[in-house]
Amino acid sequence: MIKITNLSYRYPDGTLALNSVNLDIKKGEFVVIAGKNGCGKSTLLRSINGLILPSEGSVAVNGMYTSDRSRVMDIRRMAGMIFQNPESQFIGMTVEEDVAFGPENLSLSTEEIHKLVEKSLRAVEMHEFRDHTPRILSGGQKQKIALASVLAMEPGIILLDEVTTMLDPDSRNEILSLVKRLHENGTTIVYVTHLLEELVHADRLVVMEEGRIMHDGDPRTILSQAKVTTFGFNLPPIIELSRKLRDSGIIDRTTFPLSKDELMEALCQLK
Amino acid sequence: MSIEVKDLNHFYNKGTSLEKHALDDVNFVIDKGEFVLIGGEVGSGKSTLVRHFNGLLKPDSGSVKINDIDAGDKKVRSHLGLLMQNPQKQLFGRTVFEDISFGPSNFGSKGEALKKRVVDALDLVGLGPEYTEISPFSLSGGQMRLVALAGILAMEPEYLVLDEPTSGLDPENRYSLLSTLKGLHCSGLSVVVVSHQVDEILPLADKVILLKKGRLAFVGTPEEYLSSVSSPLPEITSFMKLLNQAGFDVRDNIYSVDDAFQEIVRSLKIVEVEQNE
Repeated sequence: MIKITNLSYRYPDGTLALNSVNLDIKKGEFVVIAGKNGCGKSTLLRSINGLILPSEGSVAVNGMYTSDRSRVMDIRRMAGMIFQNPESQFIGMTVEEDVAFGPENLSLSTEEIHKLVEKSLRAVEMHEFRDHTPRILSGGQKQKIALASVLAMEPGIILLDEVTTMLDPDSRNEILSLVKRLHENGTTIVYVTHLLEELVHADRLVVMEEGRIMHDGDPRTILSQAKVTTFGFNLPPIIELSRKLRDSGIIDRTTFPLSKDELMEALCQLK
Repeated sequence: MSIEVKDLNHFYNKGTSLEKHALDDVNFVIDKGEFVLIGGEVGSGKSTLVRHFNGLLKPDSGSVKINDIDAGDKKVRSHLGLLMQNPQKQLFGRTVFEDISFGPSNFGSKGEALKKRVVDALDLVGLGPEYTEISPFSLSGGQMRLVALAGILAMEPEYLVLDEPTSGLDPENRYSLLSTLKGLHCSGLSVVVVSHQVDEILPLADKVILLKKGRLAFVGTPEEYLSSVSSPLPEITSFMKLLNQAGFDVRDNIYSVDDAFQEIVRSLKIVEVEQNE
């Protein structure tokens, strides 16, 4: 579905942000791209919907190349993107107007637009806020509206760039479970983060360092490799505890609990 | 010598239909030299509270005093520095030097003494003197935040108050900022951190103040906090509480991975012995 081949990207000042990146993402996958600030993860994400064009190599979404300017709008419709700062994504006076903006540009009938807006706002459980101005909403609610605006375009792929960084823990969990639900309904998710605790629902982890892909595979396998801490993360406390219990043979080495629930289950089996 | 908050009340949009009682009879004292975590959910009044510390907001009733000086008095600003959320937005200088020297030069510092203050302040946040002549806008987000912090340290405050200082930083920058704060506290500075990230601040704190819907919900030591408050708790603490509910016999007033590991090992051994008998 997304095919990235030998992708390099150089900033105008010459810095190499992406260095020969190869990545194939299949339909329906939930991929987390992680790495420290400056590793190129956001640049990679922005390359997928053509916000950034390759210096070398290519990016294709459903067979359409981002370098083909006539297809960029189709690509963006297919791959919707949400950014870190919820403030910077609003254009409408009301929530409804904001979510309707995308569909309005697809020259649909008023009725169809209403249907899409209604459906998207319901999907993020924000339909009661349709007449509100986005300004007075909380950060978490704003991110939900941003997500609804993307959903209104019925994209097959959703690209998320550190969308929970500015949110408190409760709103973060809400956004995470919304993303999980979208994935379960068949949407392809590409999720950039530096918080490994957000990895729990992903079926694939890509770790980047200095513009290159260092690891790519099953999250539990990658995390159980000894040198995890060297790629610039402090492991989240629950994952660290889980790893310690696993390394010392207390819990079964064939499993790797990544959340409180999973670790609890593993420990209860020992009782 | 202390920050003394007495019967503090603050309203937003007073007298309108949007009136919000943001701070409701808040009372506490922060002694000089303490490291304090002010916690609470988004909208609990944390930021509103600390904006009273240097007179950015005025109480609707009650008082805030810093070393017995009313917080509204400009003199307070040489005693207490406030680093707001996203402080990189407050940078304005053409060079890092211009930015950091702005505060102290307004209080009469100049020449070599001013230069020394700037270099010393940079040193405190772990940046070398070579940073003075470059533009703050060419720095990374984490470094910009350190420069903003240096600008406050150059005022040589006794109290350093930071509003969500680690939000949006990656783990590496987070860690270095936290160790900078630890170092500053060890050198005698009072540090007050507003944060909903209990996990990272609690291990450094002597005192925890928790706000809920504008009211004071808790004041005490981190140990008392872990045993008496139900949320927000560090990840490990809340996991240990879950284990207890599931019938494991573990201490739940702990927050470090190592302590948790020891407790789990201990409790599983007991279970094993019982099974053997």
